[in-house]
Amino acid sequence: MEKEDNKKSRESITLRAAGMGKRNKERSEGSLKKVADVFELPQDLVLDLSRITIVGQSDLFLENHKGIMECGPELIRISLARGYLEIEGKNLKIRFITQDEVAVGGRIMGIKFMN
Amino acid sequence: MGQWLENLLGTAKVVVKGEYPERVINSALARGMSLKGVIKGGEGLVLQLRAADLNRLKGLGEITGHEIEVVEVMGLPHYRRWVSRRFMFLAGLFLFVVLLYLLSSFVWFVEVLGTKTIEPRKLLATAAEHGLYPGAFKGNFSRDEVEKVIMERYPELAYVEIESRGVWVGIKVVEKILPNPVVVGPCHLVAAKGGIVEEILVLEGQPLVEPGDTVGMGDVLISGVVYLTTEGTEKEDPGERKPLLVHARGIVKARVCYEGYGEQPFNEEKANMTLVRCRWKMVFPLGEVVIKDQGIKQETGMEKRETRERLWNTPWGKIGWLEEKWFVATTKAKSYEDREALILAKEEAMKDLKRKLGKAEKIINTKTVVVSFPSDTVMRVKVVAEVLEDIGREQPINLEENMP
Repeated sequence: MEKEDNKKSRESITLRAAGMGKRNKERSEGSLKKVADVFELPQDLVLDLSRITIVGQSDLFLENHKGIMECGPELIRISLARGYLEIEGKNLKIRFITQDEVAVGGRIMGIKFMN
Repeated sequence: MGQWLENLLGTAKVVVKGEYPERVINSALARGMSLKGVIKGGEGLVLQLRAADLNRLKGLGEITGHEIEVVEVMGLPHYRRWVSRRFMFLAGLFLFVVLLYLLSSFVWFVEVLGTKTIEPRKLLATAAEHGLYPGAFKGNFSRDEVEKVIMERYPELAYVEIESRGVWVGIKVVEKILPNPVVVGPCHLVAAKGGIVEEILVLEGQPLVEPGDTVGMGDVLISGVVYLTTEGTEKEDPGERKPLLVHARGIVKARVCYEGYGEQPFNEEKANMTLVRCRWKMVFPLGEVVIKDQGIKQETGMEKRETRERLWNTPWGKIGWLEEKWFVATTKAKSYEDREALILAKEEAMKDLKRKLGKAEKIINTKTVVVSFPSDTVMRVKVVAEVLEDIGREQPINLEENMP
């Protein structure tokens, strides 16, 4: 019984710590956003955001990605600093990819930001 | 990375087989590799990368437990074996390109364009003094400097331009068109040629001739010394009247005779040169090579009359070709009837006459006179042409002689 209680208390501490970490992160992001707004700094640099450029329905350029999660002809998932990006379409392919940027080609039907 | 650079460095197309092949891609990206053409295939993930990164990717595949299969290798490294088999061909090609580049860095032809009175060889000599001559390295002379020197040395030039097109350099010049010397101040209008005056139109001055008068060269036609006559002074002594000096002007048209002479022998021997031998040679700095030698090889009785050559001066010597021709002289006799000889002599005389007339003369009348005797062996003909032309020429008045 004592062991189970200890385990439960440890789990609750871990969950609370996780919640506190999430709250701290959100708080620091909020303050960084304010700083970026005050000093008119580009938010993608300050907040480590991705920059996406779409040319028509056939080309998508993404800067500041964190890797490929899935690559298929109808779905490409690319990891971002927060969450990931889902690109849906037909005959999709990665035209080129480097450590910082990726270019996706094909018929792009939809883009989703997943957290 | 540009397409040409990719071809130069070489690219490889591989298939990543195994579970979750995206891991290999992420690991490759983390190690600084750049990938292209990533697409899901039937067996796995197909992608392209630089040939130099292929071994690193294979190493990553071993770490992550994926199989890396090379489908295709493209670009220059792929042709290494092909290149090694044709090494001499490629070396020759390279040498050809280098030689072409080197030879095109020299001037092979220099040409003077637009000269009328100045001799082109003088301009070529001036240009050669400043480094522009056939065989000169293009960097050894300055176009601006050569242009400047030519302009300074030849004041009769209005414009000089050095045009360079490949191995050809043209010295384009335009000569100045200077106006005729103008007589300023009082002058007479004198006869430039002898003739019979037909018309006279006085614009200024005192006319001294009338239509029908015969004048010789240098005779005053319209005088620039004018004595004013008024009603009150007509009876006075002319010696007391003071002359007025004017610039005599007017048109004095006169019949002027020109003569043209021509002759034609009744019996003529024409020397013909018959080509008997022709030889072509290539000239190199180290010697000459005979390419073709046609005709009679015997040297006696032949005369080398014609030689054509195209030689270029290079830093190593002369390079080009030569064509030599040998001829043997043969004579051919021909006799003419009186009528034939007369026609030919008249043609000669007309040519002579046209040469004397120039371009802007108006011929009124022509007359052909046979001046040879029937016993002569040569038909001699004189063509006389009467031409109506303005014979007036301005001549300044010597003030010391004319002023009292």
